[in-house]
Amino acid sequence: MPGILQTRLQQGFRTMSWPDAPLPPLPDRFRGLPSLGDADCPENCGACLGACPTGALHLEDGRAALDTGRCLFCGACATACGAARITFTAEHRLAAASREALVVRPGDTGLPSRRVELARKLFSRSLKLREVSAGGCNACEADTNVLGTLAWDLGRFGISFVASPRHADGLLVTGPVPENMRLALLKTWEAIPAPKICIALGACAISGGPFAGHAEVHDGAGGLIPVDLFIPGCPPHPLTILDGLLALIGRIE
Amino acid sequence: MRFERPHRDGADLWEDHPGTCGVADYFRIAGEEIHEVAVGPVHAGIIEPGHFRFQCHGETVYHLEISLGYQHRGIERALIGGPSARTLHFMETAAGDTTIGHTLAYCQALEAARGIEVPARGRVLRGVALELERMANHIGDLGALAGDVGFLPTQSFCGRIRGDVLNLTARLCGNRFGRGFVRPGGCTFDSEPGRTREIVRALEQVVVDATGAVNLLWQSSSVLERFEETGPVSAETAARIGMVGPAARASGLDQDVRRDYPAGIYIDAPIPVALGATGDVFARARVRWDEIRNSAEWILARLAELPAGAVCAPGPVPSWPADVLTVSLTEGWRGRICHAAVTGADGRFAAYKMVDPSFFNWFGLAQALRDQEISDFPLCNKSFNLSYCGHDL
Repeated sequence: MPGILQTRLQQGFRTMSWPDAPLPPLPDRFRGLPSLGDADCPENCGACLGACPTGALHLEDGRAALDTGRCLFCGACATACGAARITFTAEHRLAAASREALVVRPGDTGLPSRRVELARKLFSRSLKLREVSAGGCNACEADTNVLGTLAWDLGRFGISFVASPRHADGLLVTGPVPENMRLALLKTWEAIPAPKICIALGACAISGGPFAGHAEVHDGAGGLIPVDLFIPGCPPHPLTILDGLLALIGRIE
Repeated sequence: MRFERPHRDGADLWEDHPGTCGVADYFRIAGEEIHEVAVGPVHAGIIEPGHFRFQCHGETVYHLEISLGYQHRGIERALIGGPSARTLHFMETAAGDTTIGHTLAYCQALEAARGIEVPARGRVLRGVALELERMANHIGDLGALAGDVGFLPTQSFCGRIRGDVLNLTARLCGNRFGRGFVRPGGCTFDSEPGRTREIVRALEQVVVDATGAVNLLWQSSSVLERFEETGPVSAETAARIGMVGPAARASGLDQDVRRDYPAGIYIDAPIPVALGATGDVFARARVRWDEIRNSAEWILARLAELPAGAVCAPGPVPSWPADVLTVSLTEGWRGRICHAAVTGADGRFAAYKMVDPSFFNWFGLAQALRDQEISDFPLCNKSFNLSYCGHDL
């Protein structure tokens, strides 16, 4: 017992003060929200399109646009772009309430809307989520789990993960949803009493990620379940996940 | 254990059962007092899916059968005809918590096939990333083991310390799991002197914090009472089912790819092999703790004498040569990772096989549960902490 107390003192108080205090520092090489320069792309370039492993980039009026819902944040496009038009900023806030809002266009400023009225109205002070990993590689899962540790202390916001879907207000899905998990995912969703919400976490759950188009997967949760909040990343940083959850319940804008 | 249903027509080993995942002829014990407990595929925590069947008599588990395949994403099938822009991402997500391990196995295979030499600095940084991955996962699992026996101090501390280690990987490459760090020929990021100093300082603090947190386990008789003699796997069983990694070493099998088949930095800078004897939860926890300390010491020694030069071999991304068979081994944090690539006349993959350590060790978990109580399952499971997606691919 004295050993436990002594260790407790040595470990110190480690729960971060955010969102009441400034953000904890992100690593300087962190690849957050992409930014596309406002200048025109060189004609017939398309170097970024060829470099992207998931087809996250497409051309709109001859200029590249980037779908963060498909993006693995690998930075291959930024390396391939001879005109240095693509940069990955330190912006960790990536979540959006609609699939279309995940597309970043040249000169975009500001964040997409994360307003989910139902969640703000019903779950602002208490949100119980059932997580289902459907083909998740354990990275999204690990960085969701980390929110439960004392450094992040998700419980202080009234958000927690529960074991039974009957106790849940919503579903958080990770992974591209393999055919082999389709039934289990749908049964879990059906077991959650309405009104309920669904969150798709990570590139796989939003679009299939690196497995998009595989016959074995359903390219994410969206084709099977109505999704209310999309949190991009591969995997999203815990701060990105927490930001999305807090915006969902209206704790932050 | 069953495998996923086939995705093409033709005969398969399990033809006599319907093709739904988890629907199988399970090994069953008959008798009035026997009961069967089915768990999953969706589990109670934030973890991957799999199905477990326990054959119980009273509290005693006579047999556990593990049915996987829910995580099948078609990686090996999609690799055929490659390499493509997605190939490295398949390696990084084969088992997401083993990003460095699997990507390293792939890159080493390509480098061996092409005769590419990774610069010394790149070799060291790859080793540092691999050992950081090992440390992060082992620390997290020791915390989770503490949680499974209701010992909350170590659980709380280790959960946080694990994050500190992941942040060191992010300091190196911007991603907590090492995504985008290991690439054919070397690494994508260098560690400047200032960054190296910072990582060293942070790692020294991690060692202090982890030592305090984990030593509580060995000092608490209630923890030891739950760890010791729980879920034993004998050396003989471990050898017969081909167990690998810390779980095999905990049973006394003296094997470690880093020593037995060294590649990269491990040729010049060997790392001690941690061994256990009893093969129980205690031994698996203890081996992991020894490995955490060995890895930390090794990383600090490597960073103290980081060779100068480039981190990546010059030139464009190398292509695969035609008509080769390459086998590559790496000691990931769960154990031996084996990749085998076969290319055709066009230099494209005719076949690619990746074997995650979980492939062997799931059988070990099933063996560990025999004659145990069902309430020991979480504890045994966490002492292995195997990958579902690494098995299902």
